[in-house]
Amino acid sequence: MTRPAILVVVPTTRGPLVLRALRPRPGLPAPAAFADGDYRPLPWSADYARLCGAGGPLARWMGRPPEPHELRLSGSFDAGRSWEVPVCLAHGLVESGHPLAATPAEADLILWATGAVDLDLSVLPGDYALLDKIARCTSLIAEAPGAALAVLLPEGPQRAEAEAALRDLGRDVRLLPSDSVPAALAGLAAPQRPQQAAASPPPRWRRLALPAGAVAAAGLAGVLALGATRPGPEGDPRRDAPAVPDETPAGTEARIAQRVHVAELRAPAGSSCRRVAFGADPPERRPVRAEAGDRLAASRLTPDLCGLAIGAEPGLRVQVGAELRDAALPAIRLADGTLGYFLREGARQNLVYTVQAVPEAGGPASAGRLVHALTR
Amino acid sequence: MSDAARLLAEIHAARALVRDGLRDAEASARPDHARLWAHATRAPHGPVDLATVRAIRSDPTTGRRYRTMLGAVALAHAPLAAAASDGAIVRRRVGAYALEILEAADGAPPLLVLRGEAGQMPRVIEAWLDDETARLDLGAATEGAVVLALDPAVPDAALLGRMLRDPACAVFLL
Repeated sequence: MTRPAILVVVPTTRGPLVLRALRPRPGLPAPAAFADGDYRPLPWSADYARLCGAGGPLARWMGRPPEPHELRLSGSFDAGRSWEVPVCLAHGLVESGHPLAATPAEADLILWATGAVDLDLSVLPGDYALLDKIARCTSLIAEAPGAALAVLLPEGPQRAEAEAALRDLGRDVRLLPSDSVPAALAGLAAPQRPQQAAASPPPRWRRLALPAGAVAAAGLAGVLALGATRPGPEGDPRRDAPAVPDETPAGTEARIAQRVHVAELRAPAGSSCRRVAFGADPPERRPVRAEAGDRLAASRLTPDLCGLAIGAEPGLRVQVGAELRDAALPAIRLADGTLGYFLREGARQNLVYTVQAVPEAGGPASAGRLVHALTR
Repeated sequence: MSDAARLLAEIHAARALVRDGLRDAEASARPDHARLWAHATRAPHGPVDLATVRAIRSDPTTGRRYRTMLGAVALAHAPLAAAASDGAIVRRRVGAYALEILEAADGAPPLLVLRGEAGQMPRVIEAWLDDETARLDLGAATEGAVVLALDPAVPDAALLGRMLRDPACAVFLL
């Protein structure tokens, strides 16, 4: 299914800016905003980073901070916060996999929005110079005669006049709910006429979808008609937040113990851990059995417990928690391929550590963690 | 002494005189300390003294003096990439700072990320590779890092990105 390309417009009192791109950039320390033709982040890039950062509105809504993105606009501006609503809407669209158009010629839908948001992504009422902004955007809108037009007008002194000005454009304009960004996104996805959409926004972010084709011909109701597009689990932190990846399913713990093998390395009778550590005597191996859940049976921290041997199935490698790594000498590879952690003399104290198996090639852990306690 | 030998001696003497005169002329044409200092501490994209620029590029002695001065005023500098490399590099350390180039697919410009362990962040980066140079304003840091777009549409930024990928590129953080 081809989704319509959406042109996000950031209106300013000096003319409209166009959101050229919004791309996730792994490795970027913080989200950054740039303008075409400039190599430096925009002066308000730090504000954009806070909008997306932990504890910011987008992170609170999604339940996690979004991956750092590179935001690229066609230009910049000097002051104001009215860029927040269109940028939040763009993040919502990108999060659900909708392509963004970089120019009016590529656009199937023009999304015109302005306003600032609070921590709950509610659109703050205010004087956003709506009439001036609309007047300066007419030529840009005219560049895409076949594109549908969706508009978010915040509450404020010029809202009624702005609605009239939009009607004068002679285009089929869909007014989005203006109380919050999630409501506006839900309004975009709703197949109803604008008024109905404002009255009953769909409950789930993941139902937001913009369908293929027929954008210009069928108008907005047709543009925004098709159903769910984003598979995702339930359990969002907020009712309208985007879906998050599945947690490790319950019941995997029983398999973990088979993937990770933990054995005690004990000094044989008549020997000592010192002799074992220096290779004078081979240690005795006593496998640690798995208990219910994700726990291994606790090991007694007696003087003959020299260390632990930890191994994993072929194709997997073990990741051992820092508690054990700090309490042990650097791990050595034993003859059977397992890792030997010999306890330091000065660190033989009660400790609890975790161990998990991850694929050799990297990537996420193949299963949950095992917890193992060493107690006196 | 024969006439031929005398003539040969006079030719050698004349050449030595010309050579000394040229050396004196070069020395007097070299920019003085104040001009080099003004060039080293100039604002990026600000006006430059073209005679100084020409002297730095064409006269190895002046070039060395300038880069020594630049190293003295820099928060950190590195004449070469620290690790040997047989190809383009995307990560290098410059003193207490780390430079990394984040490549991107689908037409996005690469990003240069400068992270600092020290409290003070540099304001300007200058890179030298052979006789090519690029100086860019770094701007303010966000969350302990400075980010620049090495946008192909911005010639200076594209040049900086190309130079930084070469292990032989000298980097000065001012």
